[in-house]
Amino acid sequence: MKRMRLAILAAAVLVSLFAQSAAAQDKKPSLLVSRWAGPHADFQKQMVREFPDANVRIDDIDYGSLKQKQMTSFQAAKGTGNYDVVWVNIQWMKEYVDAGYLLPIDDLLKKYKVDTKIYAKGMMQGAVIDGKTYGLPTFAQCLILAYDSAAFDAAKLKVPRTADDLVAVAKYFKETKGSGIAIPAKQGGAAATLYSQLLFSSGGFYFDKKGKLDLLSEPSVYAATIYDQLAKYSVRGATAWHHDETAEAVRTKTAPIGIIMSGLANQNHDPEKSLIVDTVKYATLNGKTGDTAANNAYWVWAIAKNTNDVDASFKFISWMTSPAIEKKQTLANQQISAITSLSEDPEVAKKMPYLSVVMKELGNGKMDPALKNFQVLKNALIVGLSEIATTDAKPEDVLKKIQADLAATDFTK
Amino acid sequence: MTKPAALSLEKGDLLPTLLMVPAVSLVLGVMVVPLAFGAFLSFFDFSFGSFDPRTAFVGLKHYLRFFRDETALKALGNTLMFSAGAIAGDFTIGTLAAVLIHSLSRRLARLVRPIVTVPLLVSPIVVGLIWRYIYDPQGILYWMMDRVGIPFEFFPGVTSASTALLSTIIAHWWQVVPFLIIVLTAGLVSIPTELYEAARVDGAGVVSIFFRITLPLLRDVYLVILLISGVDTIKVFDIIFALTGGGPNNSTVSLSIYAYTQGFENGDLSYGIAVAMVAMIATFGLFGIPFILQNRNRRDR
Repeated sequence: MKRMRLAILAAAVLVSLFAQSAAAQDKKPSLLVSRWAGPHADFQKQMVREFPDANVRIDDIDYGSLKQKQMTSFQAAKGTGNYDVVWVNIQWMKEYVDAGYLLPIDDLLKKYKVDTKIYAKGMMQGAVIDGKTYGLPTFAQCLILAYDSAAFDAAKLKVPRTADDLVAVAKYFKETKGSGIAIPAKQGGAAATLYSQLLFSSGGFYFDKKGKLDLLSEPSVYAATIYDQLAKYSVRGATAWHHDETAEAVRTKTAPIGIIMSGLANQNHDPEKSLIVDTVKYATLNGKTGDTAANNAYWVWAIAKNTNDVDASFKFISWMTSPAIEKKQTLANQQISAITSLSEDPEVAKKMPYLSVVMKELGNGKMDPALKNFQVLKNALIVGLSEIATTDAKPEDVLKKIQADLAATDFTK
Repeated sequence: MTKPAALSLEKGDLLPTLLMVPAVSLVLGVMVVPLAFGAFLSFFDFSFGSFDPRTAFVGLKHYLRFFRDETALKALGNTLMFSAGAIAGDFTIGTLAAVLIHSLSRRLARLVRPIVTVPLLVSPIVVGLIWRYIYDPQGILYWMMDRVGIPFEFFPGVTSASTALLSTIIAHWWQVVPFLIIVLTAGLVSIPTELYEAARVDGAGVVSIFFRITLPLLRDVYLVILLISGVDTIKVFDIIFALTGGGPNNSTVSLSIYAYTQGFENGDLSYGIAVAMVAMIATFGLFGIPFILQNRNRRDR
C-alpha cells in the first residue's frame, strides 16, 4: 500500500513538473510570420522551431497574393491575427514605409547590439529609407557569368573582363562553333534585369541626378547596345528563353557561356542534370570598364508596425539573418544570404563555388528604385528590349521612344 | 369586373418564384455582382488601401485611354487575329478529322477517337509548356525540320515576331480540335444515313455529299461551337502566357495578358479592368449578338 502511495505521489510530481514545463513553454510569446509558399518555406517552417524566444507560426501563401494579404494585415488591429513579422520584397519596402506599415528598428539594433556591417552594403542600404532602418536583408539573387572552362581552354579564350570582351567571346563561339552565348532574351523581367545589370555595371542608372528619366545617357545606350550584340551572338532560340532555359543551355553544353541567375547555379554541380560539373567556372558580369554591380533583388525581414510583440519580433528577424542560421540555410538549400563573410567560409565555398562572384556583384549592387510607377518603366523596357533582340531596330531609337512615351509619367514618388 | 387573384402558394403563383430564388441569388451573387463591381471600378482610379469613391471617380478616362494606347490597340488586333486564326483552324481541321474518323470502320473509330481527344484533358498552361519544348531550337520540331532539310529561319516559331502568333495558334489547335471532333461526331451520328444512301444512289460524289448534306445539317452544331470557341479565344491567356509571355516585341500580347500586366504588374487595376471590359464587349459583339439573332430567327421561323 505504501509503495502504491509512493508511486502515485511520484507520478503526481512528474505530471506537475511536465505541466509546469508546458506552461513555461506557453508563456513564450507567439509570432505570426508572413512569407510566400514553396519548398523554401517548408524548410523554414522546420527551422523556426529552433527559435528559442517565441513560438513562431509561418503563414506561407501563394506569391501572387502575398502583398495584398500583408497590406490587409497591416491595416488590422493588434491581436486580430495580424502579422508580426513580414518577409518583404525589396521593391515593396518604400511603399510599405510610406504607408507607415513597418516599424523602424534603429533603436532595437542598438538595444540588442546587432551589427549591420556584416551585410552587403548595397543590400543593407535598401532597407534604410529616409535615414531609418526598416529590416534586415536576405535571400539575394543576381545575374552571373557561368562558363565551361574546357571550351574556353580549347579556344584559348580569356575570361571576359569587360562587356565588350563578353560580346567578343559570344561572337567567337557563334561564328566559329555555331553556338554563342546563352542569355534570357525572352520578353520578360529577366531581359530587363540583364539590361539593368549592364547599366549599373557601366556606372549608369535609369534616372539622372535630378530624378528625371534618363534612358539616353551614355551608359544606358551602351547597355542596350551590348544587350543587342549579345542577342545577336546568342544561341539559337535565346529570344524565347527566360532564366530556366538559359541556365539549362549552359549546363547541357548547348552554350559554352551564359548569363544565368545565381539561384540556378547549384544545378551546374548536379551530375544528374549537368554535363559541366567538373569544368564549370564563374565570373562577374561586368560593364564597360570592368566594374560590376548587380541589380540587387532580395528580400527583407521586417517588423509590422502593429506587431503584438516588438522585442520578440526583432529577436526573430535578427536570429533569421544571423551568420549561424544563414549558413544553415545556405548549406541546406543554397540560399544566398546578405552576409558577405559567408562566401569565405570553406564549407559554404565548397558547396557554392559561385558565391564569391555573387557577393562581389551584390556588394557593389544597386537596386531598382521603389517608385510607384517604376513597374511601368520596367514593362516598357521589357517590350523595348524584346524589340531590340528580335528586330533590326537601333537600341538608341528604341530607348528614345520609351523616353518619349513615358515623358508624362510621374517618377517622383 | 373580376377581382385580381391574390398570390398564394396554394394557387401555385408564388411557388415557382420562390423556387427560383436560390438559383437567381447564386447567379446574382457569383456572376452579376462581381461583374458589376468590376465595371464600377473601371470608372475610378482604384488603389488598394486608399480608395475613396468621392475623389477617385474618373468617368470614361480609362476607356478613352484604351483607344489612344498603342499597345492596347495592338493587343486588340492580336486578339482578333488569334481568334480568327484559331477558329478557322479549329473548324477546318476539326471537321476534316471528325468526318475522317466517322468514315472509319466502327472498330477503328473506337480506337482512334479516345487517342485524338487526349490533348483535351491537358490544361492550357501545360499545353503552353509542352509546346514551349516543341518549339525549342533543340526540340522535336526543329529536329524534324533539320532531318528534311528545312532551315530554322524558314519557321523561327516563338523566337520571331513574324511567326510567334501563328505558333500560339497552332498550339491552340492542338488542344481544341479534339473538342470539335467530339461535338461534330455527335452531330454526324445524328444525320440520317438514308440521306447519304439516297445521295449516293443519285450519283453524288464525296465532296458534293459533304457540302450539300453534311455541312448544312451540322449548322446548328457549328453555331454552338462558334460561340464557345469565340468566347474562349477572345479570353486567351494561358497558352500565350506560357509560350511567349506576349512577346517577342508584343507580337502575341492579347487583351487578357495586357489587362493582367496593367492590373497586377503596373498596379493600374482600374485600367486593367477597363481593358478586360473591352474584351468582354468585343466577345459579346462578335459572338453573343449573332448567336442571339440566330436563335431569334429560328424561333420566328
